[in-house]
Amino acid sequence: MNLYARRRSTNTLVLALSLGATAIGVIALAAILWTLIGEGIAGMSLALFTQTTPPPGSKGGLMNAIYGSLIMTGLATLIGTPVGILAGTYLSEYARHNKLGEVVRFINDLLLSAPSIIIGLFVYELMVVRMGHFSAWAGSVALAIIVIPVVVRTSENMLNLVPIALREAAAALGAPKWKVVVMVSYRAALQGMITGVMLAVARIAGETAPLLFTALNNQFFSTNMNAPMANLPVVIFQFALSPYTDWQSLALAGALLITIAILILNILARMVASWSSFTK
Amino acid sequence: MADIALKETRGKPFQNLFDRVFHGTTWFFAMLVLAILGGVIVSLLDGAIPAFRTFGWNFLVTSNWNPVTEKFGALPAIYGTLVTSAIAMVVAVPIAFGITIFITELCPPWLKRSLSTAIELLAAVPSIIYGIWGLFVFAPFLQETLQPLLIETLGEIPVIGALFDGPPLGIGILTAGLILAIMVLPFISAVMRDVFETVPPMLKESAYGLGCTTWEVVWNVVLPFTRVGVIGAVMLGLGRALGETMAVTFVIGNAHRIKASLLAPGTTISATLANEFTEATGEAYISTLFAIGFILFVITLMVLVVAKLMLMRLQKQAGN
Amino acid sequence: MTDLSSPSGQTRPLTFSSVTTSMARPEKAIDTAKVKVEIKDLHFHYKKFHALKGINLPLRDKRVTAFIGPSGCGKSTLLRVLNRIYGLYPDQVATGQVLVDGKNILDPGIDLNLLRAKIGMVFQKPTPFPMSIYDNVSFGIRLYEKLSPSDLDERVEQALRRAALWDEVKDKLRQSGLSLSGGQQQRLCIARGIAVKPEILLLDEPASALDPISTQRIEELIAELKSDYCIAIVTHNMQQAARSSDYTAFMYLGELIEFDETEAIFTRPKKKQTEDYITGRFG
Repeated sequence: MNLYARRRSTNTLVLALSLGATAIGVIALAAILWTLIGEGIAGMSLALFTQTTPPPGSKGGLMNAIYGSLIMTGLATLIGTPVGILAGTYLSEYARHNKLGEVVRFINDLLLSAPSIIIGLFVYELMVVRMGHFSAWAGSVALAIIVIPVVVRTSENMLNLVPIALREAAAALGAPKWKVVVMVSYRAALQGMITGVMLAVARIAGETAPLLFTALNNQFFSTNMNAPMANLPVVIFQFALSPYTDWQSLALAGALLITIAILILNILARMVASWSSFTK
Repeated sequence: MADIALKETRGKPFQNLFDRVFHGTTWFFAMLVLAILGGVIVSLLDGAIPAFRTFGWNFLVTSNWNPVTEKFGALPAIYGTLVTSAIAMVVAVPIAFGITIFITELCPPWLKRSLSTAIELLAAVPSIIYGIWGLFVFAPFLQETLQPLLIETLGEIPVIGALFDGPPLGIGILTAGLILAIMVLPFISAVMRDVFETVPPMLKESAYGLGCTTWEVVWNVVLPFTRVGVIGAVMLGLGRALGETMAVTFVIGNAHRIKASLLAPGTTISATLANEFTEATGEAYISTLFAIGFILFVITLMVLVVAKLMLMRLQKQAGN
Repeated sequence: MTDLSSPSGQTRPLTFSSVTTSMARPEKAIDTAKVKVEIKDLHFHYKKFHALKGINLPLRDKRVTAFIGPSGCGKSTLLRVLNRIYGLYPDQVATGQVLVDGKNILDPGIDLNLLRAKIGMVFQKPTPFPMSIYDNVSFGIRLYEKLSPSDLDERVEQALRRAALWDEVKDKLRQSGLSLSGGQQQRLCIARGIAVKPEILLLDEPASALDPISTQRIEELIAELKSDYCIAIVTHNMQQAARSSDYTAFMYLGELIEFDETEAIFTRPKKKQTEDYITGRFG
């Protein structure tokens, strides 16, 4: 049984390697979270939420950046969600099996994975150059363009899960198609679509690259959408790379804040998804 | 089915109109998705044309980078982008493969769910977090441990030695590649797991039924069955690595030079954009940055198209 | 219900010992074929669901034993215990004893790979591996034996001939196994199963996904293979059971209701439930 012994040891070896790989992955990722929590907690304080970003060498908080991130993320979601849901509706309700639908689906998947910094360049050319200055509007549009493909994808998937029989039953009652879609399909797919939007929000909450050339950054608290606006990711980027320890610890606190927000959003999204009647 | 049934509903005229408006609206936004991609390509090209005109094909193969004299070449950034991504793939793919085998074939069910969830959550952590960790923790760690070790061992070997030459700086091409590897790891594992789960259980049972070991089932049945999908998953990860900005920018060192050594600082397209775009002055400089952005977009688009086509083939096969 | 140790003479003759001793029918010779598999008080749990409730049953060598019963009665589950394929799913637990050549295969120390090499299994749907016809058949052989190419060719040909597939595929051995028709694919899986020279063959509704002509060929094949193997077949098709088996076990809701020679089950069932089922009066 020499052959068999060799097969068994190969198997054991491979399985041990796969266990090792898992260990490497888990350790690396645990190390990241550990650093984040360990270093980030030190910077956590009330001042973080009440004071604006300081000049080098003095104390301060991230209030303006938190505000900017909330505003721009919120606005991007407001712009991107209806666009995404309607485009997803087209794919699921009107173009499930046609060529145009296939093309849109394919392009949407490309946008979904396209480098986000490229989106930043696009919006720079589209808005910043034309308006002549960086602005919170441009930042929101850049983030909205990242939201759209995520929402298109999940809305289409969720609408596809709504049983055809349900639509037929509504149509058989004499409801016109738009009513069937709005009152039956949307309602049936609601939880799934909410999940999709939440995941999209989580995705843009930490996006840095597209904001670098659009919203830029702002030392001060600003509510002017036509001017540069501070935001967490760009502040983290600039502060972390600075030589000042005050700034660095603010960057780490901000990083912890973003990570916590994103993990909570993801977990909530999962919970909403698990209530949905059509997802497993 | 639904389409036919719905078209035949007798609607009052205004309902018909409403139907058309609704259909038209959804169509419009679907077209908007196409328009966005079109717009991205057009605007990048528009911004890039002056640079392409000035530097011609030489742009792709020269390594000047002098904002003062306005002489630019994209080679170091392209080189850095490709090499960091290659390192990331070489490191991440085998590990992701091991994790996938562990999750799908080995691990007890209670751990399977929490491990899968953990991987998906980690895939959602923004890349700036990986970057900041790379800067504060990982680069200093490599500087003290792995890099001196590599210099002392592999660095002494004649030909390969050139790859591990020079002082251990911490930051550099190798560090950037490793950070990228850690970042794409959960992503590739998650896609690969989904791909592995398309194998019909009965097919796996038949192989176990013949007396195959777990590894033999994976190697002889699961992998051939999912080959296209696995390649798709890897390409998707590669697409991410190529375009990734924040995880790389912190630790690459931003040097427009090509050095044989992987320990030397370098740059990537995305890192150059992140570092220099807002400070760039002069049409030639800005146009150059658009040009390298365009190159990055073309490279990632090609990789993503191949990835998508492969994953679509797997879906068709699994659907049969 | 099938308690081997029950002293009561009224219990049905469901076990090897009772078949051969107490209930042997006088007009027929006692079956002298060796008992290859002895199932003793087998229970099976899937999560909280009690899928098999104390099964006792012999499987004889060189005989075909058919398992019939309505969907969900546990007949497939029973088959999946015999090569412990259920062990791939950690929620599934079998207790009791299954003795193959006197050795309890439910014993945790059993080497599953060796066990499964000894017991071939064919599934409801054809499961050709994503490789050539030749490689599908040689795959299992190569796991356990190191043969010269010519010996391997011979073994592959032998297995394909045995599965009555050789004439149809001999010119396209390098083509993918997926290129064959459904019936051919199923015979390919049988060839793959017997190529490793197992002692027991488990067939889980092998013809359920096939057309009538392919089904007939599979049945002929079973009749032919009987001379070499101990065969257990699960089927929902009673004619198939009547035509191709020597013994039949009727199962219902996880219990073995009746076990006897096939002819006896179909002509003189002793239980009302069995009679109802084989005459079609039963859900």
